[in-house]
Amino acid sequence: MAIIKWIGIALLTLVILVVLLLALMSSNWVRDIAAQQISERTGRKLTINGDLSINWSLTPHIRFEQIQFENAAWSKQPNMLELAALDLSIDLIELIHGRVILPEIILTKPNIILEKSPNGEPNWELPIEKDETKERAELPIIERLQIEGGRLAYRDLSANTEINANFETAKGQADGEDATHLHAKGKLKGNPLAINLTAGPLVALREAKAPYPLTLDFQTGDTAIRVKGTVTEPLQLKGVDLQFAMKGPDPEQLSDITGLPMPSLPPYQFKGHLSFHENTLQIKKLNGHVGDSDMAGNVNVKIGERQPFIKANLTSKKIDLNDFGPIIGLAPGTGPGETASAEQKEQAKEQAASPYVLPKKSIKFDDLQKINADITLQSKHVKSKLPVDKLSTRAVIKNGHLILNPLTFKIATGSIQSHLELDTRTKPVKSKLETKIHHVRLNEILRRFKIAEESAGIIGGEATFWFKGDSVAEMLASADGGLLMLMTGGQLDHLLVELGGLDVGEALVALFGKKDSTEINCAFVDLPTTGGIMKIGNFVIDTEDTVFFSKGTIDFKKEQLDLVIDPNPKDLSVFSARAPLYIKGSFKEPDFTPGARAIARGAFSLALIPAAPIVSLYAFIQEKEKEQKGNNNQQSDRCSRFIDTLKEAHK
Amino acid sequence: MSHNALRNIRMMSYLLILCALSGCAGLFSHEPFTHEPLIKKEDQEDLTLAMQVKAKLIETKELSAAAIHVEASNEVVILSGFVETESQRQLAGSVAKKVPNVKQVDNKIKVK
Repeated sequence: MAIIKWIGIALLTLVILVVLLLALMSSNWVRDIAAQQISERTGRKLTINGDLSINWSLTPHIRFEQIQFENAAWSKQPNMLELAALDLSIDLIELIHGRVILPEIILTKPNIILEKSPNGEPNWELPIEKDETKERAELPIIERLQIEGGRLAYRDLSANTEINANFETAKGQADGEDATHLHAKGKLKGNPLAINLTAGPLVALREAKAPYPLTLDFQTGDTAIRVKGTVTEPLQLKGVDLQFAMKGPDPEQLSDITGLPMPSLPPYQFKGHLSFHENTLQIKKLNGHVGDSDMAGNVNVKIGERQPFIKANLTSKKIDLNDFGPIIGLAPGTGPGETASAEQKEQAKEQAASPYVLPKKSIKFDDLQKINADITLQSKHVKSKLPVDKLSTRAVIKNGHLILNPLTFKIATGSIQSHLELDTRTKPVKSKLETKIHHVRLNEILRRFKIAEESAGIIGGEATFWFKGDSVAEMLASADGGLLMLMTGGQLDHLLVELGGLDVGEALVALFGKKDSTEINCAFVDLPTTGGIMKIGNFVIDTEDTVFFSKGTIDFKKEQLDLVIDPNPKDLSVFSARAPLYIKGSFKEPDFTPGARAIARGAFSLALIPAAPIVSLYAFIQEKEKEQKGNNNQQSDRCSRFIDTLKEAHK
Repeated sequence: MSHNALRNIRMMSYLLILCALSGCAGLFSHEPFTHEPLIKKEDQEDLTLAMQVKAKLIETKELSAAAIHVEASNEVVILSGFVETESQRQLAGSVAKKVPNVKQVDNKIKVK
């Protein structure tokens, strides 16, 4: 091998000597030979219009002027590369030792155009045979690269992307090292873009050991990313050690930049530490917030496989559930103290104006096919209509299949445990939701109506639904399954107001009489559902003096209600002008109409209510931890009292 | 004139007594409702049976009872709704059959 090396060096030296000799005779002839060589190898014309001048010394200085390199035939721009002048010097002594060392290269006004044809063909791909890979290590060593007034244009009109950049090198402030500056402006996929990059000297890019400093400011629209740190082997992306900070109106807008599908969420702000090892992008100490939810943790993104694999362990002090509404097509909360982007506020207004309440916007299920993931999230507090203490969930995405299990909300002594499965490979998307509700207090809902906490209701139950559809509206319109629920405590009238979403004052007076409140002893609800139509199978609410029944349907296809709630006094002595309440119309604006008043009605026989399912569901409203016997049990006792009464009535 | 007035008063009293009686009648006979009651007495046995079946399904841990719909008519139990597997469908049928007073089970449950 050494022989080959020495032959090579001898030949190289010979070539250089011949070049120098010829140069003495006619340097422009050499210039033309060189230009022709490159033109032949690349199939594009390289012209050097200016003179070639050589300053002789042990490190001769060579200057080429007005260099032009032809662009691809399809381009409107004649040249891909223009250079006002190229100055370089060669270390002759090192050359004799077999090393090509260029102590200095100066590029004056380089103008580079990189573009993609409408067919996606890049202009920088040249028909050069790739037999030079072995010689790559023998590339000349450039000790100093200086750029003056450089311009770079990147155009990909099929992707609506056009970026114009100025770049140059400048003496660094303290260390005297050259720093590289790049300022770019333009549009990226139609969005305005600005980049400011300050990096170490370009020649250091080839140095393996020394960390290469880098500061990048990236701005597109209202999205801003700042990255600062060092990269040890930038070309191999090894030894990445970067701090980053980013903020923007919606993470979805990052999808184009990161190449990873991102969910649509409210405005966010994150910072963290970025590194790269063995095809894996590691984000450590991620910290920030989305909307009014904070998040922290570690994220790994493994690239290189067909789908990137995201592994994330996240924790949160507070999650605001409505921040995640945009994922399923709901605008996030826009009230005072809520965080939402301008676009999302607009969407919230539209939704408020729409006659429908269920989001019709298609969920981007296809995105789930682009990635595989295993994400866990633990939150200490969740802001929602229910006073959730803890959320703990794990999402596994594999080959377009999403499983959310567990999806558990802890609520005081109770919990809502769900298991959600989604298969995005079917069209429309098939999904299944199983939920078990244990001993959940509804005090937060009731607190809104300034009712003392003691009167809070407790619910328990289970639900199983299968869906088919790409939006929440479509999914519910196809729902098959059912819901079973038992409730004790709570105020029925206030609950109806809450469920109905509006004050139905007079209609309620008709239903309940003029009492201040109607406390629920025990309520049992069975809602069998087929093809998006929820039937009120059994609906019994027991209060102190009245048993309420309900019949009817809830139609998720048309978002229509057709229900009647019928009060049955237990004792005629409390008979008052009570009448059934008809609830009809859209989910958005249901009509509450009192039915014909009963002139006189019979007392209600409890024997009409079957006790069995209430007994079976009873466990769902009991506290799991038996040792924690507080006053909670007093409430579930009321359901047991109701059960006892029913059993008595059946005898 | 006084005679007429007296007759009017008498008429009024009759009406009042009638009203009172009809009201009191309700206390003993559960009748009359001025609108159709939601649970009729004659359906009560079927309803009770259906609910007893539902209760047993709730207690069967391998089944999601919420998605299984139960109706009853003359001691025949009609199961409909949805389960995940064929064995769950059969289990639901056999659970229903074991409930006292169930003569026949019509298993229309669909496997998802």
